[in-house]
Amino acid sequence: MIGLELRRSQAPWTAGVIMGLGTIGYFGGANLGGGWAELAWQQRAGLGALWALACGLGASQARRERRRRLEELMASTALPRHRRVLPTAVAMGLAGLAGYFGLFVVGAVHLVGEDRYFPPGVVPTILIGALALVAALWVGLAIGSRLGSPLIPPLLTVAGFAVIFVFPAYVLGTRHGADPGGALLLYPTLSQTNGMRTDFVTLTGQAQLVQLVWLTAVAGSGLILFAVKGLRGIVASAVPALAGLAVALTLVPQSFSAAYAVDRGAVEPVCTPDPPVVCVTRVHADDLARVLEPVRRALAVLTAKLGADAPVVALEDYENSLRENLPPQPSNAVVFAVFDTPADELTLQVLYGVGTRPCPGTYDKDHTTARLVAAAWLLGIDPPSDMDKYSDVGRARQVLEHLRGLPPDEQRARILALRRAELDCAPGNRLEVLAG
Amino acid sequence: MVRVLRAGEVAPDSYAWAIHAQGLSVRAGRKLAVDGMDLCLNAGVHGLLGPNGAGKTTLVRALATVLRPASGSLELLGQRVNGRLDLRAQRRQIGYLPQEFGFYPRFTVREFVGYLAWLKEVPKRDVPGAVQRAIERVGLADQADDRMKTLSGGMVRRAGIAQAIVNDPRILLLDEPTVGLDPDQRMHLRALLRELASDTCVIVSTHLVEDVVAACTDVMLLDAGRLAFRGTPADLVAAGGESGLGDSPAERGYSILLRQYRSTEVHR
Repeated sequence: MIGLELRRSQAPWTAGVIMGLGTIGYFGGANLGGGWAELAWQQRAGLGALWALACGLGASQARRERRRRLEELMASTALPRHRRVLPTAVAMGLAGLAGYFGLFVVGAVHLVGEDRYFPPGVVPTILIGALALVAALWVGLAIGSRLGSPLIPPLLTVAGFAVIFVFPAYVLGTRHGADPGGALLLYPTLSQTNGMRTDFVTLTGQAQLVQLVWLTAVAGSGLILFAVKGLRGIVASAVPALAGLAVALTLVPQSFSAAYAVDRGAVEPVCTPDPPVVCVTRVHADDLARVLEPVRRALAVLTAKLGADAPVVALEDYENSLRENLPPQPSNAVVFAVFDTPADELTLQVLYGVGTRPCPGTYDKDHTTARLVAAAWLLGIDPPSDMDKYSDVGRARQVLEHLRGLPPDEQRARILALRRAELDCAPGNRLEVLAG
Repeated sequence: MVRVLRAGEVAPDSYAWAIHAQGLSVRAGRKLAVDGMDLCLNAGVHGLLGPNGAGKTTLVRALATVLRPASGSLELLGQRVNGRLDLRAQRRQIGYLPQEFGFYPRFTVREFVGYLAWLKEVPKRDVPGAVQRAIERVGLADQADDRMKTLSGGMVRRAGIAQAIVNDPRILLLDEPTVGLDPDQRMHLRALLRELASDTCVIVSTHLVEDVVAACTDVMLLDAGRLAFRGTPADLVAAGGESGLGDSPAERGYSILLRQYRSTEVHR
C-alpha cells in the first residue's frame, strides 16, 4: 500500500515541489560556492518557506477522501482509520525526506570529489531539517483531515509563513539583531546571530538535541492527530507535543548564540611549511594559495616598516565568529579574515589596525579611522576613500599628514602603540594614540 | 475460474437472517428518514423501490453501517450493530456501492479495486485473485490497467460494482447501480446479480421498476420511511393490471400500490 500511495498520492508531487522550489531558492538566494557547513546552513535557514508549504501540501493530501467523495465508502470498510491512513502518512513523510535530501544532493554536487573539510555537525543539521519537513507534512495532514474546508491548505501555508517569518523577526526582534533566547531553537529554521560566520561554527550537541526532541514530538503529535479520529485523537496528540516541549525547554540554552560553538575541526590551522608562516583554517584550506601572496606582502611591509618589532606570522582569524569571549591575540602574529577579497585589497585589510582584529564594542568612527590610518602609513599610500564607509577619510588624511611630519622613530612608536592598544583592547581613543 | 474457498465461505450460517431489523429508525439530518421498519432478509436480490425521499438511501446507508440507527434494533449476519463500536467483522462481509460513488482518478481500476480489497481486510494473498475476478465479473478486464479518470460513466459504475463484490460479501448493497449503464450492460448486471443471489443478500435500490422486475427475487416499496409493500415482482406486475398510468404493468403496479398505501395511511 505504501508503494501505491507513493505512486498515486500527492507524495511524488510533494517531493518534487520541495526539491524544485528549494533549488530555485539556492540559485535565487545565495551562492552555491560555499563548503559543507554553508550548504547545511543555507538549507536550514531557507527551510522556512518549504516548511510552510509542506503544511499546506499535507493538508491538501488529507482532503483527498473528501475531495474525491470517498468518505461514504470508507466509512463502510473494516480497516480502522489509523491503518488506512498510515501508508498515506508514510508516503508523505518519505516524500518530505526525499525532497529535502534531494535538495541537499543538488547543493552538494559541486562539493563531491573536492577535498573539503566535512564538519560532522552537517549530518544532524540536515537530518533535523528533514525531520522538520516530515513534521510539517504530518501536521498538515492532521489539520487538513480535521478541518474540511478547501481553504485550509492555502490558509495553513500562509499561517506557516507568518509563524516562521513574522514571529521571530517582529516579536522576538531578530531583525534588529537582538538575541531572541534559546527557545528560538524550537523553530525549524536556523537564524544567524550577530556577526556569526557559518563556516566556523556548529550547533552544539545540546542544541541539536533540543531540535531533535521537539520536532520528533511535533511529528508524533501530527501523526496521532491525523490517524486517530475524534476527541480521543486530539487528547492523545497533545501528549507527545507537551512532553517534547517540556523536555526541550529544560535543554534550551540561555541565549540563542549559546546554541552555537566554534567548530574546532573547522578552525584547525593549515599552515605553510616555509617561513614566513601563513595559516588559514582547515575549512578554508583551499584558499591558502590564493591569499598567500598578498598576506606575505603585508608581512614584508610590516617587517620593512617596523623592523624587529614586526609580527612575523599571519593567522586566519576565526575567533570573532561568535564575538563572545574572545581570547587575546598573539602578539607576534597578524590576523586576517578570508573572504572573497581581491588580492590587492587583502594586503590593505591585513594591515588595518596593524594586523589586529577589531576589539568587541569598538566600532566608533575614530576607532576605524585610526585603523585605516595605520594601514595607509604602513603602505605609504593615501587613505583609500572607497574602502571603508565606517572611516572618516578626511580626518584620516589629516592625521596621516600629521603623523608623517613626526620623526621616523616617533612615527613607528605611535604605530606600535596603536597595535599594542588594539591587542590589549585597551580603553581610550585610538586616533589620539596616533595624533598625540 | 478456480479459487480456494475460505473456511468461512463453506461453514453453515449461524444466523437466521442476514439482515434483521426490528422497529428500525434512522435519521438523515434532523428528519427520521427510516421510521420503524421491520425487515428479515436472506440470500436473494431484494429490490428497493420508492419515490425520492422515501428513505431508500438512508436505509442502505444504515445497512452499510455508515449511519447509526436512531432506535430499534439492527442485526447484520446475526450480530447487533447498533451501539457496537467494533463493526469490523460485519464490515468485512459487506459490499457497498454508494449512490454517489467517488474514486481516486489517478488509480488504475486494478489499483482502486485492490485498495478497497485492502480496506475490507481481504487476506493479502487473496487480493490479486479477488481483484481480477471482480473486474472480470463486471466486464472491465480490458480496462483493468487504465486510470479511473479515463473511464466512461458506465465503466466507473461497473468499477464501483467491482469494488463492492471484491470481498465476496454476504451482504451486497447497491444504491442505484444501473445509472449510466447502457441496456446491454444493465442486462449483464442483472445476470451478475442473479448469479450472486444464490449465497448473497443483495439489496438494490433503484428508480427503475424494470430492473427490479427483471433481476429481483422480491420487491420492497418504501414510502416516507416505511415499508409500503413487500412481495415478489410477479405481485407487483399483477397489481398493475392491464391499464392505467405508466407504460408497463410493473410501473402501473408501482404507482397503484403506492397510492393504495398512502390512502390507507391517511385513514389510519
